[in-house]
Amino acid sequence: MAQEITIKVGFGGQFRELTVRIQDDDVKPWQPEDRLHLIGDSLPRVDAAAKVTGTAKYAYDQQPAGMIYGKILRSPHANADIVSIDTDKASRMPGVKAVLKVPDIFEDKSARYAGAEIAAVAAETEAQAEAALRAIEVEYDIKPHCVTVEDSRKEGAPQVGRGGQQNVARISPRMGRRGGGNGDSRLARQEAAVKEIIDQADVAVEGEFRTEVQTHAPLETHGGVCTWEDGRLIFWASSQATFGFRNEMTSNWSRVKAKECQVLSEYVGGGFGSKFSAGREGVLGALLSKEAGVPVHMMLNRSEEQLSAGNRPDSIQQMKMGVSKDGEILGTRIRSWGTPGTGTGGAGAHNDGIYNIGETDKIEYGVRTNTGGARAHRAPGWPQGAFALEQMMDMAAEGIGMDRVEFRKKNDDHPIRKVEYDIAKQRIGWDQKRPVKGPGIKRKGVGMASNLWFSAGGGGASALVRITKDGQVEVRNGSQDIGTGTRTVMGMVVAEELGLDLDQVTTRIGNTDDPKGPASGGSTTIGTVTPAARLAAHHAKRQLLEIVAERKGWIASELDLKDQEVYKVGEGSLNLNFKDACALMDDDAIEVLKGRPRRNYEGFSDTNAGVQAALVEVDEETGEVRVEKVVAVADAGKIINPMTSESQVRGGVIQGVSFALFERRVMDRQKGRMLNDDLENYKILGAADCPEIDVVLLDVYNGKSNTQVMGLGEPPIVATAAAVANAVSDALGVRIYDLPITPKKVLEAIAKRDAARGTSEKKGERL
Amino acid sequence: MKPFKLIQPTHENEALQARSSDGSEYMAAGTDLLNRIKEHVASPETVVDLKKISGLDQIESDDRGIWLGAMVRMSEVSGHPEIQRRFPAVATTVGHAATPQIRNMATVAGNICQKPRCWYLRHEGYPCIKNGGTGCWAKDGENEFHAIFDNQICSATQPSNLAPVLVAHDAIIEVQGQDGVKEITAGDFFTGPSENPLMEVKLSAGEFVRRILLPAETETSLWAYEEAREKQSFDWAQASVTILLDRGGRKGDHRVILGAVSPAPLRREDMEKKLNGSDDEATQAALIAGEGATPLSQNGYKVPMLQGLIRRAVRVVRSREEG
Repeated sequence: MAQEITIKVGFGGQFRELTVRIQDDDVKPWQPEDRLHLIGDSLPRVDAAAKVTGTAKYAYDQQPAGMIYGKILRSPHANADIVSIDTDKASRMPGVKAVLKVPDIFEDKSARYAGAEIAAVAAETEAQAEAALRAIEVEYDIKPHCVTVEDSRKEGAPQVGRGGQQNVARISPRMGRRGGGNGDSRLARQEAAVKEIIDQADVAVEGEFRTEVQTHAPLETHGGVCTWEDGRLIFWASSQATFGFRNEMTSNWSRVKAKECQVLSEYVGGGFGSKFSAGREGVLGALLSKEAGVPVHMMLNRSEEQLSAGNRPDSIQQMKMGVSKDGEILGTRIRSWGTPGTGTGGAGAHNDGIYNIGETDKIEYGVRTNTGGARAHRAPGWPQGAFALEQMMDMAAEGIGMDRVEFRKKNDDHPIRKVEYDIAKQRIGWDQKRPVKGPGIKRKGVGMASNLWFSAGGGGASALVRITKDGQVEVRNGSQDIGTGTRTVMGMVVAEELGLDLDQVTTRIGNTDDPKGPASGGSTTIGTVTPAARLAAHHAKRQLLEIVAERKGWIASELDLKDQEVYKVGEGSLNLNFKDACALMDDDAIEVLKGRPRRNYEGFSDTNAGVQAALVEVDEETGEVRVEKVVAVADAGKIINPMTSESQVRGGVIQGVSFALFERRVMDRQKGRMLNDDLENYKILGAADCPEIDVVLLDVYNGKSNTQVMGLGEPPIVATAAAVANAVSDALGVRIYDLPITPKKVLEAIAKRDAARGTSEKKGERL
Repeated sequence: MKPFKLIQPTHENEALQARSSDGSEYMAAGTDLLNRIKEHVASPETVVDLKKISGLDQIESDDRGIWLGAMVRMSEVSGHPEIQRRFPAVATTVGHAATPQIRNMATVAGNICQKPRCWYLRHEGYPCIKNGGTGCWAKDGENEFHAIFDNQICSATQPSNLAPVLVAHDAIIEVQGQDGVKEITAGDFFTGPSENPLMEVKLSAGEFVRRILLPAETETSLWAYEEAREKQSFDWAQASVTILLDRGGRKGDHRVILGAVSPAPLRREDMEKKLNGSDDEATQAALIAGEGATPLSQNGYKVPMLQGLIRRAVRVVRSREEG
């Protein structure tokens, strides 16, 4: 069932041969010497014009005949139990077609954050639905709340959970039964061992780092439009997991229990990890539509989106590192806390990855608070972890007097990143002198940080390729494109295989009636979908060439397609173009459905890397920080389309700079509500704040699949905030341990620095 | 959003009449009011749209100076050649506000009459002295962006970018009301909470801003406007300093107005006196910036921020003097 082939793996002109076993019917990964006509070309996304001109229809835009509007009533209280909900008045309001009480559906009588769902209404107009919501009478048993990690950790803090739930829970390491013995005593032994290593190291550095809650803030909010047709639910959903969404609607454990469901997500206005689940809004939308008997439009407004559609948890990370004089990290102690909302899972910080950090003693705690729940957010745990780790790397390098980049190289053995450091260093002008600008004091600095990612895609995707007798080509896969360019890249892979131009291939995505595809998580979509698409295209091509060979008396195995023609391998054109070749079919079409191999092949590297360097200017008079430039050196296996790949990197850098300088959820501790549940006071980087972004893509022949694609959606956000923070520290000569790096924090850090330097004699001059 | 009745008068008298009913509000471009209605922090029964009234959208000059009609768009001011030439501080300041899209919609009168951006005031469920309740949530809450001066009753700051420079120029706000047209100087027009905590400007019920006069006698080419804020794209100033020197060519007729640090633009005569051309005038003015400040738990940084802005503004204005 497998074939053995020899491939070349490597990058930058350095390749080695590797003999690997690949699935029997699979095609060989593209080789460095292959002359590819599309792969590697920068092509605009095929749906760019539709998106820019507004003809692309998102979930939000759907308007099936008879559609009415759903709205959700939310708790104004941060911590309460619902005593009663009276919807009588609301259900008699004009235009109201359906009313639901949330506790009836989700068996949850608590409202543990301000924004928790209480009831839902569907009415003919949005105004009627909103008016009806305000007519619902709710009696709450209001309890004390805590909305910050500090408050929740305090002795005697109000209980966030119910029953026996503690506010603080250890989330890692998890102690399995197989380890034997007492987990806690093993932890204690490890703690003591690492303490000894650090104590005996030449230099020890430590710091406490804080990052804030970052909301996803996709432009298209969560929700969708749904309708029922003879027991079949049709849901135009803003989703990054069409099949998962469908299963939520149909599975036994779901609240909806639709017999059948079709999810349509042809265009999605961003997800960033927050749109895997249908969410309560999806369930309520489906049930309101069922009760009302008409289509329902149920999309969150911006406030609801900010309150209840997910976020990146905050973090408090205490790190201590012991380092030898020659630059080896010997041991690291890590304690971290973070709040994922009312639960405890998912609040860890990946501050022990990327580098070899020696013997490690790491414990993470999840802290319940009365706040909106976290969801996976673009590289969950990584940007906050990197923020702490990379500053520790700089502090350690400074502690032993070693160049910051050399120190990283010394503790890093990733074969790709080793090369990427020097590219980043050279392009940011690492060694240049950066004179202080006066008379107002503006200082520049540079900082560096690294990425790591793991994904070459995985099993669970099939693609259908259809070639019609009149020469039309279509590829179908039911997963979604949340902005990464999947639609375009899938078309390119098929067009490459068939020797066609991209515009000759129609790509259909975002429809669960089509072959299965993955959720867009872990940066796996393109790596998962494209090998299936290539495989299906390859076998469709072989079938077509069999027909051609039979009709023309040629030998099929000697034929291939190139430049929209049939040609004989090693000889050249046979003067039969693609369209005429298709016309030789007896049937209307060739259809090939192929599944991707379940497992990836042995290849060059299981991980992809990446290095970013930032150049910042800090205005010491106002505290304002400008990120002038970010060099982002990225790799993601084979780069199919540099333009869409670069866009992924730019997007990651932009979101990373935004995380570094602006984004944070502000909670009012008095009433426990989010104060910036909007896009005015929740600040996101705008055009004038965007640095120059210099993207360098390395093309890696990785060999992991027939397209060799690795994930690129998430890794570019990992390093950015960390690189910016290191650059700010380089500029100021004082470190800022908390995100976001605001003028307030810069001014406070400068004051602390100047006080420490004892600048009393210079005070007159500085003021 | 609570439904409301929209009235679009074409004459000023009609507007006054329409507004005379209880629960009515004037609206210019609506960039502020409509958001407050959507967020349930304003719920007028009737909205009186002033945009259709003829004659309120003109920029005209006469011997008193330049008159900005109430409905003149912010972008028209920042791009107006005569204003750029005679009142460069005004043109520049307006160009810093909000975003190009908002500046293309928002009007000068709407800008100076907008409600503060205090996130408690703009959240349903936080009754305070500014909306008919008592007290100030920001004082014990999240107050990083709030006032450091005159913040005892209410700590919301005046959000208008235009307000400080209008005060600096002694601009005249022409107000239409039941009793006819009257003129109020900008320094009196913007008020703190001690006067009437429900209002940030001196407008009685039913009155609306007709025109704004930029007076010829305060023209000067010696100006500076410096502000600090987190984001360069669409953000509110955390602190700003407006300096005018030798207004109308009168030596020593200076103005130093601080913005975004108090409920109304704050004139600092003590700093004006320091601007005497000496080598250390910037340092001397900056040193006293924090005098009278009563910072809250999170906004003490605004003092050093003001000091930095003052030093910079003095450098800028002196560099204009040198040509």
